Amino acid sequence: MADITQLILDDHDTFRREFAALDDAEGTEQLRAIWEPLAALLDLHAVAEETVFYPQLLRRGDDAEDETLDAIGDHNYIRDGVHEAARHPISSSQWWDGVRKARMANSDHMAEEEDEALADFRRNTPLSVREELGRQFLEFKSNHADARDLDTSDKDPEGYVNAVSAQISSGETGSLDIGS
Amino acid sequence: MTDHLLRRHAPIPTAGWQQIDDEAKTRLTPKLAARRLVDWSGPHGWTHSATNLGRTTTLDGTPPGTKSETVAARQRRVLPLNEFRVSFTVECSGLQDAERGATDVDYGDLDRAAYDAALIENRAIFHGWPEAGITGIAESSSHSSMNLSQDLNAYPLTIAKATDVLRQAGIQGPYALAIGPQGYTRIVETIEHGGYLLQQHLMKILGGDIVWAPGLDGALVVSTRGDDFVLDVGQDFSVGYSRHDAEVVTLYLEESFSFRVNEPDAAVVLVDS
Repeated sequence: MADITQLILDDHDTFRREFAALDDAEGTEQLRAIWEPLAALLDLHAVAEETVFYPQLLRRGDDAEDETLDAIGDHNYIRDGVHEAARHPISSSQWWDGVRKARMANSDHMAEEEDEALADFRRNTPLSVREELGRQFLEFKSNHADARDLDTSDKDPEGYVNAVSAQISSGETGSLDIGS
Repeated sequence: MTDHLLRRHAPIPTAGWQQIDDEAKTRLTPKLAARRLVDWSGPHGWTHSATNLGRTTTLDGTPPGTKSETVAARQRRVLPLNEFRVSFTVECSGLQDAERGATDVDYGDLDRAAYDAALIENRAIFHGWPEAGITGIAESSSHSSMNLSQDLNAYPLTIAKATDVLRQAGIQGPYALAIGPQGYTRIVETIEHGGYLLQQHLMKILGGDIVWAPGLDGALVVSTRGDDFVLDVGQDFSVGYSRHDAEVVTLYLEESFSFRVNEPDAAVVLVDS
């Protein structure tokens, strides 16, 4: 079973590779073949993290609140770029503007997440729990493969953190979080 | 969801809940030996009721009034989860002290409950729980059991033989030794000829840990390579509220789980001789 932090890194590798592939693509159809699955994965990855990963980071991380606020804000910038691109014909200059916006925001986000949130989570979470979350992350992605049934609108970072924190403080699961 | 735990109905302030949860976790964690040796699936939550076994049972017929000649009907087999609660009480005066900032509140009955609860999980995994349909690791082992001599000098040879049995059966390591508290203490107290710690010698043979295992009769050598034993947890250990009066609050520790052995070849039982 894969550790969720590894699965997130795997998605990041895909993002880097596919954004780079856009640079070499020739013609609208090649761009479409690369962009449409990439755009769907950007949306899906963000919601999967918000559903599975960040609520657990907020329970366990040393600097979880700041890391989560940054991440949700970054996700919003990425979503904005993806959705801006979707409003314009592929290969148009406006479409490229949206793609570029998503790419820049995503590059910043991945660097921060890899050095901060993922590292924080690994330090504070046993492998068995990370593997179980990995299973949930894969299951979520499998159940929403094309991201069409997901709410991919922007989220208020503070509202998100407050909602998860409220669940934690009210003993949402009541679990003692002993795990294995 | 915690609704079924009714925590918000308890006359317990936040500081009190924090202390109770921390105390329960502190007391339970070191005693939950068995879950350290098996694969963990969960927690899937209170509503998780069964483990999928991927097997079916053939049904003898189809619904009355239907044709059955060309129909093959099967029923899915699942392993139901079992839930248990261990009650304990906390004095209201102690909770009030916790709210004032006291950090030395007596949670003695919680400690007793934590021991009882840990023992249920450990015993179910090691020796089974027939009423719950759980077969333990010891009972399912396909290998002949070995004698664990009272002579500690014989332990390295016995453990080496047990790991060899596993290897011969194609079960890769690392291996771990689970042993009851008395046996564990004897191991860590023993120094072999030449000043080498018996514990380190055994760990070298095993390639893995020696686990202090309350509730285990004798000892077990098991592979920890994974996929051989699975603990499927619905609600992991949680504290819920039952009732209260003017003097005490009655709470409980709760867990729901199932356990299954996928590979009976992956454990050797060591019996005290």
